[in-house]
Amino acid sequence: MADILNITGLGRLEIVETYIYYDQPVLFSCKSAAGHLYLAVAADKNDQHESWLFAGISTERLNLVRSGAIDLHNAFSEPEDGFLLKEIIPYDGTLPRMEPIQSDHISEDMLPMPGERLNIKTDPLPILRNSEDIAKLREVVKILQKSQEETTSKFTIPNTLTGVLLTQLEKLLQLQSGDQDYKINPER
Amino acid sequence: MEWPDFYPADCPPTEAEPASGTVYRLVQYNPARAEDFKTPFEENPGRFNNKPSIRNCGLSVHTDMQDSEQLKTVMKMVPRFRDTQIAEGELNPTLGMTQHTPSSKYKSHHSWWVPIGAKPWVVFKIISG
Repeated sequence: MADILNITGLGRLEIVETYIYYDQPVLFSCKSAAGHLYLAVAADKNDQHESWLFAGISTERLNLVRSGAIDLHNAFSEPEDGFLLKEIIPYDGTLPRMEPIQSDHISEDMLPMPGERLNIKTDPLPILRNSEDIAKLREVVKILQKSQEETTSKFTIPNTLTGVLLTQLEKLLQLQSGDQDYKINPER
Repeated sequence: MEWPDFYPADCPPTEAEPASGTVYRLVQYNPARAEDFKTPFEENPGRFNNKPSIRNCGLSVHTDMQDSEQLKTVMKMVPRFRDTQIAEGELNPTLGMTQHTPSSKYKSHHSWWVPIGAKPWVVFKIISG
């Protein structure tokens, strides 16, 4: 089950990937219900409050951050939108608030240190989960499976290619659905 | 042993074991204080839609100091943890329950659930800054 956070000013955010976890995700990517991606980091904590930074980020830029092509300092100090969002959560029970911060007004002590990079040697960021897209993908799988079974299919696809496609689609569906045990059953 | 009222019914999980052994935790204060042992849900329940879970009611510790040292290095990426220190503590069953919850990077990560009345900061001392 996906982690859902309730973030002031951004609403419900679904955590897409956690890069560092300590008691909770402290460096992670997340998306809003509208599909907007953010890179988030625990920025500050003292006796009175804690702060988090959220940088709106495109999928392409996030993949560069994940691979280490862009370091984390740059990811937050030069956000694509030109500003960050700073969430301040007081410990005295008053309501949290969200403040926009222009990129040239961000304090260095709230940013990851320069040169610090992620180094995720995996496939690019999984396509954002969407139940409709997953359903469509499964329909494609059914068509491919059927093409393997039928000798006179309208779509003549070599069996070896079908097998490769099915393997790749299986991996994609595992990523999409979060179900690592999902298998494409050729018997279905 | 009594657990905080906000704990969900399945917390700690049945797989958890009585706390024991040496653990390491990143702390903000020297000496360690109660604030270093507050769970994310305690500090900000609204963030989790006021829904406590096994995860957000637990604390992170390592049983291998190398994991803590490595994590401290990694925490250069996370401003909030940049000035933390590594504290060592000797756990016992009165301090709650733990479960081995390793990650691919940190094999000795454990989750720790602390009961009402326990004062874990008393048994921790700073060993590395």
